[in-house]
Amino acid sequence: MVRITVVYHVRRIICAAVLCVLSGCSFTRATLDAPNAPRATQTSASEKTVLTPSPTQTPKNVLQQQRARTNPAMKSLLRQALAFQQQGALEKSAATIERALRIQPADALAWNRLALVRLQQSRWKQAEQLALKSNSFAAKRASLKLRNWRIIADARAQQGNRIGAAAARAQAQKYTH
Amino acid sequence: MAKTPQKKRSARSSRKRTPRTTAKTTAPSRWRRLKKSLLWLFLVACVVLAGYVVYLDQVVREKFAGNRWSLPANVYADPLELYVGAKLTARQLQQVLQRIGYRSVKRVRQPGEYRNRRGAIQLYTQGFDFWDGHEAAVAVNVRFSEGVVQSITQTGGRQNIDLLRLEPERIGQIHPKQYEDRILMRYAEIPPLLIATLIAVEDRKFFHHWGVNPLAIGRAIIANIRAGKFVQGGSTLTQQLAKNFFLTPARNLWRKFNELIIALLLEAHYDKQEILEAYCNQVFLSQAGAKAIHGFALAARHYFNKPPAQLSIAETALLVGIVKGPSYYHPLKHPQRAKTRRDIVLRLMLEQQVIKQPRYQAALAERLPSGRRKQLAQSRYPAFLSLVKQQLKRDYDEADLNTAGLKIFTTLQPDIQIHAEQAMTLELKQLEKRYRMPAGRLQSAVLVVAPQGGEILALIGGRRTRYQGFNRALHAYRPIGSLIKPAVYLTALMQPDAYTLTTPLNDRAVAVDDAKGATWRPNNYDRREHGDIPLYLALAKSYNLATVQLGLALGLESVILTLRKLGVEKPIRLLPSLLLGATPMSPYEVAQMYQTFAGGGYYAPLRSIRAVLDAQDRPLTRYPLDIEQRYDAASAVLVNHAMQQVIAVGSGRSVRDYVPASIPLAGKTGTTNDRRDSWFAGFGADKVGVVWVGYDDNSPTKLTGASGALRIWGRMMQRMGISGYVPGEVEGVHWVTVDANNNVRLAEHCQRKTRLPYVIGTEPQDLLACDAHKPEIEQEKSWFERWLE
Repeated sequence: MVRITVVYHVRRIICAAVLCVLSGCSFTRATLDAPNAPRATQTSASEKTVLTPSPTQTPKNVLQQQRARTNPAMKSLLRQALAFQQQGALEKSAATIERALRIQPADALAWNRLALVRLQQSRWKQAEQLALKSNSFAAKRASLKLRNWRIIADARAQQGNRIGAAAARAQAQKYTH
Repeated sequence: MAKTPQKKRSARSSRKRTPRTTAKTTAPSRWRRLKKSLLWLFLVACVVLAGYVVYLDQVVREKFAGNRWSLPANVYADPLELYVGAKLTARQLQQVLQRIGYRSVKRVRQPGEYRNRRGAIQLYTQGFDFWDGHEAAVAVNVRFSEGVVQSITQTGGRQNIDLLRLEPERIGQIHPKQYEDRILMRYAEIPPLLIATLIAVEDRKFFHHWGVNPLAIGRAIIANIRAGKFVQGGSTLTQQLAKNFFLTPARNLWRKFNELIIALLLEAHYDKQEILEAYCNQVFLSQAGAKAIHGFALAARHYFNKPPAQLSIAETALLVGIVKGPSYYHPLKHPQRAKTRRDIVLRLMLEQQVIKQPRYQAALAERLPSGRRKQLAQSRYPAFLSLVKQQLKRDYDEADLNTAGLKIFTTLQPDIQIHAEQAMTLELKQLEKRYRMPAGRLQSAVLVVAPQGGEILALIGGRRTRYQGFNRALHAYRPIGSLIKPAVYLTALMQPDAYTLTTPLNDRAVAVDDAKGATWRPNNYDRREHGDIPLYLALAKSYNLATVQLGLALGLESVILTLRKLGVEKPIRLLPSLLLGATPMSPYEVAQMYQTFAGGGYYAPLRSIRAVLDAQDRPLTRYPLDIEQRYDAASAVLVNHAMQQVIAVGSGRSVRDYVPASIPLAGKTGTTNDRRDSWFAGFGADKVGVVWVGYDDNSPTKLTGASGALRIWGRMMQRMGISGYVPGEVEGVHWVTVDANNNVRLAEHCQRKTRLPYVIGTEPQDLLACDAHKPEIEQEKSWFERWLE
């Protein structure tokens, strides 16, 4: 019985520590985005630039909200993945996002990014599934859900699923503001 | 008058001249002819020799190239990712570093070194070419705090590092057929100490000579003459390679002659590193029964159970010493000779300044390997490796697998694997003791899988984890018992208008007639009927009668359809006993099923390989993340919640002996007839675990799913850590306060309440006042009932 209590308390401390670290990250966001910020390999353009091939520009405040949620490792990997995607190295981009997902499997943004890469590769079925998966983690993130539904609509249309595409577009409508 | 005498004279002189000329031409012409024939002989010999050399050259190049090109495919585990917030302690990191061959040093200066100082670890990574790019070598300091990584900074700077990936642990090799018993090293993998020792002992001028060392041969001849017998060989390592690899062991001049030529040819075609690499992989070091032990890597495992990188100085000395005579200096058959030889080698190492005095003294004191030699599989994870091979065979021809230097990156996480093995080993022993079962007979199989992507993180095929044997995780097909029930209940919940979590089910006796006229009368474990039971509770308590009634109402075909959605592909017999898990499945198949549950309805085919690279590090195949939504998110939330209730109030309660209630978990116990099989399948946010316990001969154990498999599951999750299951917000589902027993709503403020998820519009409509509702069913179980679970 004693052992359980100890383990229980230790886990609470760990949770508290992790929360502190994560909240610390949101404060040091500026430092981490500095030009000489830290990867052994090359980093790229900032997240603010286009999330191709999404049709909408993501408002800056939503991006900031997303950034606050993810840890620096995730950010770094997603940044790298974006760079690969922009260079046309799509499979490398996908592999990098998958690496991010191993670190944080419930990250809605990472799933969304992977959906985008698959969309760009014309892998419609996976694009649709990955966007659906992203939504399952997206909770109250309206703009992310919007982008996901748009991906789903595109992908379904490409697969010849007109009814599904229309349903997806209807879902997307709920999130436009 | 004058002429005639002249004539006479000339006739005379010519007559006289002829014999003199003949006499002159006999001796010189003989000599000249001899010279000529010798010359011709010499020329012919040269031509023949040249031809022979060309022929040998061909043979050498072909065989050498053939050997090198059959370097096996290397199989790697998932690398450790270091980032701030990662759950890792200093000790765990140290263990990982040791496993991948890092050296502990006082000052970290080179790649492959680390230092653990007061709970912070300084290390210099070696860099690696992964399937998605190159990871550069970097020197960092890692600090920890309360079980997580607190910071990663570049040594000598203040730059923070976001993410760092260590080199992956090599977990095995896939060999071409004829090299079944080799572990081959590339030059870079040969420990520098081994090379230095080998040079010091066998061929000091290796890096300088051109295949043969005439001085060494000369010295050897003198020494042999002096001693009156053969005491010294003058062979270089190249010559030894020529002898061992290309020639028979016959000891004659002809073979020696060939050996010299081949040695020269080798040096002409290949550089020192390639020759040394071939030598180190080829050298004969022991005969183990019918198996010949070639190469230092295999010998290191054979004698010391370690990879060459972890050999101590004394161990290295012993192996190099054995080269001179593997049978003569056999450390187990002739320990005294072996020790003497080893000490000679150590002294040579000291003299040649390969090691320094204090290390020399320490090495002298080391003992020889003991006689307890186990016949280990070449990989530390043979069960997982056999799955990798299986999946590769499905996608590649055997011939492709045999080509040089493929790199296979897998999903195995050695930390998780080791925790699972330790938990299983410990619990099996304890179970046998507690239930007075014969020691060592109980068997088990375990899988740990990532819920979202289907990656296999750990796989245990049997109790003896290091041995290649029957892989129960993949090939033991046993009835799954109650593990099938969540599929039945999911079928119901996919019809929210008909079934909710609190729909009352009928837990009363049922008789089913089969086509042959026999009647099947299933029973609950406690042989009682429980009457009307809320759906979720019938699953939590694993009531058979309620499940059978439900399944029959839904129809067997629709249950099978659900099983297909969950990823069960095998043929299933359309019998009512299917509802109670008569269908035999392997733990692997069960893991696939529960991955779909844990993935919120998103099926991801289980995979053990991430990527395969060819010898030039070019991607050959990638096995990407591949998901498919098999049922809607609302049904997923509902069925997973019911499985949470299995743990909260049902047969899976005792998992809380290991994992605290603050970490939400979901799962299901499974027990088959006569307790022949004990199953538990459960998940959190980051892991799905499936455990089977039973006897190989199918005889009854005394274990239920809860008393057996669940214990292993709980202990392993306790060791490795597991994140709590979080249902997430799903549109169209809301949480309602209810009186589950009566399937009515309650006001929010009521004390004894249950909150359950419902598809909006399907929640119970009747609202009851707090004091009017009957007491909840979740009461203290009698000890009898708990034991039965």
